[in-house]
Amino acid sequence: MPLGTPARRMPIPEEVSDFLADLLGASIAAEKVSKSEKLPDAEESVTAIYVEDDGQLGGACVADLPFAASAGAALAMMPKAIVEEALRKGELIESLHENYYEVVNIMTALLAGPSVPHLRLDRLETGIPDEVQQMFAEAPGKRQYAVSIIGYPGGKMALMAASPAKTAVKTVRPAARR
Amino acid sequence: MKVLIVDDSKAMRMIVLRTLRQSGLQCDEVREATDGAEALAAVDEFAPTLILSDWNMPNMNGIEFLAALRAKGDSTAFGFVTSESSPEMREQALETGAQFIISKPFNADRLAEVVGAAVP
Repeated sequence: MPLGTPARRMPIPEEVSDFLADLLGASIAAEKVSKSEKLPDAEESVTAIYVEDDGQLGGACVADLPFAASAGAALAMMPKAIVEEALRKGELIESLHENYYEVVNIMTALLAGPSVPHLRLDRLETGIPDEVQQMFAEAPGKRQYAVSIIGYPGGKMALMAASPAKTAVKTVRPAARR
Repeated sequence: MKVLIVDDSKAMRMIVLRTLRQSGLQCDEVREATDGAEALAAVDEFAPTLILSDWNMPNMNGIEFLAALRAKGDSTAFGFVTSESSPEMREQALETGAQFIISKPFNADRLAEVVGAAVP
């Protein structure tokens, strides 16, 4: 990312709720979570890694399991019981993982802007990679949200973008899909 | 109206179909395809009124599918439904013969608006 590139603007909760409502076809409420709040526990988190066109880490979406499972289920109008099963098991079952991948792929648009580098979803990982933990600690652009999807358990997710002046970690893995 | 929905994601095909139904547009028959190659093969037999296609797909992507369709003289109304639509993509889509390009997520009103304009 070239020096002088402006920081990405983090969406306000209303933008997140409107975006998810259109995507999931469900009523959504999103509230901002205090800036001082830590990320969810790594063992119960799912992280979407966004990279710039040159493969440089550009942003991330860290979600707790309830948000990821609920969003994945709501996308395909799957029953709440499937989310509850995933929460009992402590992991996203395959269909929820597949659907949540689509959710975070489309959520790339929440980090887009006219004067910031293009981002694409690189991969979806269980847990929180070290470079994302580091980015969250240093990123000027970050925001956490408490999200309720009607009919499903509520959860939390955080959006963050790499500092524009920082040379971030290069990712070497190919895109998981697309 | 007969609609062909082309997307490699089953969930996204479901969403497009759901939104089509919510939009109030009259859909008499809907068929799905998972990539451009499958869709191209389906067009002759199904003869859709409208094609709603993703852009990024394996085997044959959306713009390749549209180009192949127009190259054989097929003028079926065609709209892209994509997760990203840069000005360059929009220009390329329209130049290749698409009627519209809309970004995911989209709602039923927006879909009805663009489809209504593309399919008289």
